[in-house]
Parts: sequence; C-alpha cells; structure tokens
Amino acid sequence: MSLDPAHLPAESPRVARWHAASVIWVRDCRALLLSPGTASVTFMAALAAYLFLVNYGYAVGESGLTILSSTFHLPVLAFVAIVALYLTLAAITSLAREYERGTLETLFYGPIDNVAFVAGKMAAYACAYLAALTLGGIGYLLHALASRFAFPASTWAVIGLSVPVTLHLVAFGLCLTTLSRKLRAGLGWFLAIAAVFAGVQFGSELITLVPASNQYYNPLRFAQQALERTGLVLAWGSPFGLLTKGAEAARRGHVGQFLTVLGLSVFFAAAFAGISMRALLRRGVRA
Amino acid sequence: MKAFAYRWSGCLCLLVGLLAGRHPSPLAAQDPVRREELVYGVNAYLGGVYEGGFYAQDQGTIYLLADAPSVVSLRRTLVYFWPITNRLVADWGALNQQITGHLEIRRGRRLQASIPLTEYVIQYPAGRESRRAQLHAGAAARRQWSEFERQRVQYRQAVGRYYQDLVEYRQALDAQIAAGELEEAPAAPPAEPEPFVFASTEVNRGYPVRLPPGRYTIQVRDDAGQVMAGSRRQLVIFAPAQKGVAYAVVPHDRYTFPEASDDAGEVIYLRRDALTYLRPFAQEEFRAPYLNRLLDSQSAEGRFDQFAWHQEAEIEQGALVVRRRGEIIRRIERRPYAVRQITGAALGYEIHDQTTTDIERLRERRPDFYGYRLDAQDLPAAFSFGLEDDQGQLVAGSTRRVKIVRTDLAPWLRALPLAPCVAVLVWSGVRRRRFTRLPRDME
Repeated sequence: MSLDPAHLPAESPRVARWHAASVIWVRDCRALLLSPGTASVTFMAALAAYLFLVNYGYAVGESGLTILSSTFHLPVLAFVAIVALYLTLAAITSLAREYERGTLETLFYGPIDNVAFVAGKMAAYACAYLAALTLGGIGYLLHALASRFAFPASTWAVIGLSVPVTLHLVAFGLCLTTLSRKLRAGLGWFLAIAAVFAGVQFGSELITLVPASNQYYNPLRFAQQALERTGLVLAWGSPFGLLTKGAEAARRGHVGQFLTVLGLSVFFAAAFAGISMRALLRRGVRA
Repeated sequence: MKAFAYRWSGCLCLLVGLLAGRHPSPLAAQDPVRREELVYGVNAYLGGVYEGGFYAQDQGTIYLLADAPSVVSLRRTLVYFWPITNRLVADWGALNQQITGHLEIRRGRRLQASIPLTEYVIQYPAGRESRRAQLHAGAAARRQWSEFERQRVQYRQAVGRYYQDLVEYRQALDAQIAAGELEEAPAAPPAEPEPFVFASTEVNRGYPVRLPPGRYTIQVRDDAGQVMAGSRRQLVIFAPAQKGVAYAVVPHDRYTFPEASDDAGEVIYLRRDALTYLRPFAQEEFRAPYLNRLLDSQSAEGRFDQFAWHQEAEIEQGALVVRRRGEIIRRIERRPYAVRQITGAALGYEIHDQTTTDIERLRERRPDFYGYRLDAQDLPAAFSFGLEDDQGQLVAGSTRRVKIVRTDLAPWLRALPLAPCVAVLVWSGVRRRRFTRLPRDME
C-alpha cells in the first residue's frame, strides 16, 4: 500500500476505514487459517469432543440403555473451550508482538485507525473460529448420522451462542493487551483473571471437602457461601459461565433467558472491543 | 516341658498386661458444648409427604412450599455442633419446651396473618409409601387421632382373633389327623388380616401455614403480647417451576439398577436387543437451593440458577402411547411384573409378566412392580412415547424420544467424524513443509 497521498483513492472516511479493516482482516485471517497451530488445535478440540461421543456409544453398547439430556452439549462445550482459549492466546500474542516489534506503529502511519484495526482483528478471529466450528460441526453431524445419536435444535442454538462467547473472550484478550502493551503482562493478566474465575467457580465445592475443625460452628461455612455467591455474580460475566447458562436455557427451552445470555455475550464482546479501541487511541501504539 | 511352661507363662503375662492396660480413654468421655436456643421445628409438605426438620438460631431463612399446608413451631432446645457429620444437632431429649403465642406473618410491613397455636396431626391413611399425607388441624386433629386409635385397636383385635382362629384350626386339623378322619384336602386356613399401614403422628401443637409464593417475615408474639426475642425469621415460600413425569427405566436383566429419566428433553438411547420396563412417577421441578434447604435446613448445596426435580408418587393410571412422526404406532398397557433372581453362577434378575408366567409359581406372588414393557426389537429406530391419562389426554411432561443406537459400526465409520479435521491438519502440514523448506539446490 502506497503512503503517497496522491495515490490514495478519494474515499469517504467510512469507506477508507472499511477498506483498512478489511485489509487487517484478510491479513490476520490468512495467518490464522493457514497456521498449522490452528489446524492442530482444531483437531485436538475435535478429538476431545469425539472422546465424549465415543464414550456415549460404548455406554449404550455395553449397558444397552443410556439416557442423555443433550448428547452434543458437553462435546460442543469442550470444543469451544479449547478453540476459544487458543484464539484468545493467539490474539494476545499477535497484538503484543505487533506492539513490541513496532509493526503496529508502522501500520498506524498508514490509513488505519484504532476502530478499523480492532474491527479487522475481531472479524479475522470470528472467521477463524467459524472455520474451526465448521470442521467440528461436520464431524458432529457425521457422527450423529452414523450412530443415530440425536442432534437436537438446542445444540444448534448452543453452537450459535458459542460465536459471540468466543468473540467475548478474544475481545477481552485484546483489551488486556492494549492496556498492558506487553506480551508477558497481557498473558499474565489473562491467566491470572482466568485462575480467579476458575478458583471462585470450583472453590466453594473444594471447601466442602475440608473437614470441620470447630466444635460449634463450621468456620469454613461463611467462606463457602461467600465464594458461592461471588461465583453466581461472576458467572454473568464469564464467557464460559454464559455459555453454560445459554446451553442450560436452550436445553430447557427458555427463549428469554437464552436471548439474555446471547445479548450479554454480544454486549461484552462489543464493550471489550470498544475499550481496546479507546486504549489504542489513548495509550498509543508504542510498546 | 520347660519350654512349654515358659511359653504359657509368657502368654499369661501378655494377657494380664493387656487387661491391665484397658482403661477408659479421657477422649471417649468428651461431650460437645450445648447451647440453649430458640429454634423452629418444621413439618414441611413436599410431594405428598411431610419432611421434619429444625432451623437453628443462626439459620435465618425457612423454606416452605407454596399453597400447601405446612406446620412450624417455636421451641427452646439445646443445640450442639456434631463434627463427625458436620451438622448442628438438637438435643430434644434434654430440652423441648414449646413457646406459646401467636405466629405473625408479615409481607413487607403489612401483617398478613396472626395464627394461634393449634393442635394438629399428620396422617397417612394408606401408608407413608402412598405419599398421600393428610394434615388435620384444630378440632379435627383430636377426631382424626381418635379414628386412628380406633382403627389400630380394631386391627389389634383382628390379629388376636386371627391367631386364635389359627390355633383352633391347627388343633382341629391335628385332631382330624389323629382320628384318621382326614380323607380330603383340609379346609382353608383362616385369612390373615390385611397389614395395618395407617400411620399417624401424635397430636402436636404448632402454627399451620399455607401461603402463596413470596418472601415473608415471621415472629412469635407471646401470650403477654410481646414479640419473643430471637423468634424473627425470613420465610421463603416457593412454587414449583414446572411439573412433569419421571420414568424409572428398568432393564430386563438389571432390576436393581434402573436408570432415571427426569426431563422431557432427554433422549433414551437403546441397543437394538434391549428390553426395558418403564415406571412413571409424578414430579415437580424447583430451584435447587430451595428444594435442598426444605429437605435439609442445613444444606448448602445448589445454586440459585440451578433447578432440581423432586420425584413424587407413582402414576398408576393411563397407557403408554408410542408415536412415530406424530402417528400412533402402539399402545402399551400397564401390567404387573414379577422379578426372579437367577440362581447359579450367572447371578442377576429377569422380569416376567405376572399374569402369564408359569415359572416357580410367580403368578401366586404379589407383583414386584407395575410398568410398561418396551421391547426395542419390535420398534422402529427412532420414536417417541408419552403417557395418556384415562381421558385420553397426554400427560404434560411425559413425552420422551427414544433412539436405537447403532453399536456395530465399522472402524472407518467410527473415525469418520474426525476426517475433516485430519484432512485440514495434513493439508496444513504439507503446505508448511513446502513453503518452509528450500529446494535442495538452494540449500
């Protein structure tokens, strides 16, 4: 792309931004889709999901009877968790490297602004996720056809919900990186926050395993309740918490709750993307 | 001989030592610290039975079912923490003092009701297993207790008569045998009276509560008009989120290990040769923490956004209707079944139709269960079933999908779902190899 203004097309700012975003999108999309890493992670995610399905098949074969509420929900959740985490780590790494190597600064000397850059990146990760999901989805359908396991409409709803949930996580990763502008800091913050969410989620259950030491009142009861209530609140902000809620709402046929979860995922993805754009503008593009 | 004497004297010394060493440990005498507390004793109605429990002083919220009669009563007792089970326990034997007065129920600041201490009795005329509890309060409590007493005495007399008749019957039979007069089959022995299943509590005193869903505050005002300190609690009255039908799916060869299907969204997967029996039960779904705390006031399990089913009485009427693409293909009637334990090395169970079997006089026994027989060999690969009541109406929440799963897939067909991902992985690897390796002449 020429930097000579004479060679720049006479476009409106909106068209120019769209053009710039599409360039970023194509660049990142190519990098992600042609990367053996993406293919390997997609294969591993599909394999993890496949293990659940094979297990169900063996269960029916061995016992003659198995009752399942949503056969494909758990495999889909496993697939989404692996691919979404990989894409988020890839987003953090690629953006932090662009900061640290100075390519981001070079890019911003051209006709690219903060909105186009973040929108292009988000679109690229959405495309990469959709590509992985298509591969996994074809596999699920083939399995359903071959073994006769039911593939209900609620599973399609969960698959649809996984797109904004993944973007929510990717946008969160981008947001942390634009705020920290360093690879180590971005990864560190992300892993620390993920550990806190996981700790709160599973902490209350772990506490129940600790034997009581007090004669009259179990001193861990308060901690357990505090963690449980904190977990309830955090579940409305955690991408996987939202996905689990959405899967449960889809299984129960609660359209209102499902749409709420969907709306929240879209909102969080947009909000974190907006914060990233703002951070790029305010904190600059230098590491 | 000397060695023998030594050995015996050694054993004797060891025995004396052991006996001398046996003294009570000071730890064994330790007793938990008991505190006097005002607690609420609760008889909470749930699914046709009453669940008893108590709410200690620090348990600020009582959970009860909406639009169903439950009973609460304020009592003074000794409470202690029992670390072995990690629970608070009430020592009713040491102190069980009922606090008299009126129970005030408020919603916000508005007084909803003021209930006087009332006599009540909880009864199960057809037994607790029937899950048809009756709560009688006020004057009816004494009346129903008297009725229970009358029936119990009547049963006792009937049993006494039965044993007397049995003795006389045997004596008469022995006399006939001794006299050589018994030429034909002896007369039938006296009939045993039907078991007495009527169960009842004694007449107790409490505050019967029946409220619509919502959050309330309760407190007890004593006979002097003063609010009892420590009697205020939150009261959560909750209704079921939905009602449905649960199925116990009993495999033909695993009678003792039935599978449960609670949710109408569940799919029952069967092998082609599977033979199962379905037993339907009424059920209600509640928010998990509410249900858990009603069943056990000290339970900390269940999150507010989670739901749990509670199984109730078995549904004894109706037929099972099997449908395929909306069309009825079979109607299965409820039948009695007898379970026979397989003897020998195989060990296990098999289920026989009580009305037609000729094995081991199973027909003369009481049926082990009633259910609907579902034979996968006679049915299509995918179908659904539902329970139709006596009026021909489909019972809400009773529909389930059934799929006969292919368990004999060829290995290549099993691996097929991974094929797209493997293809992309291979393509990606080949592409990377092509682009990252320089041609040999350029190395």
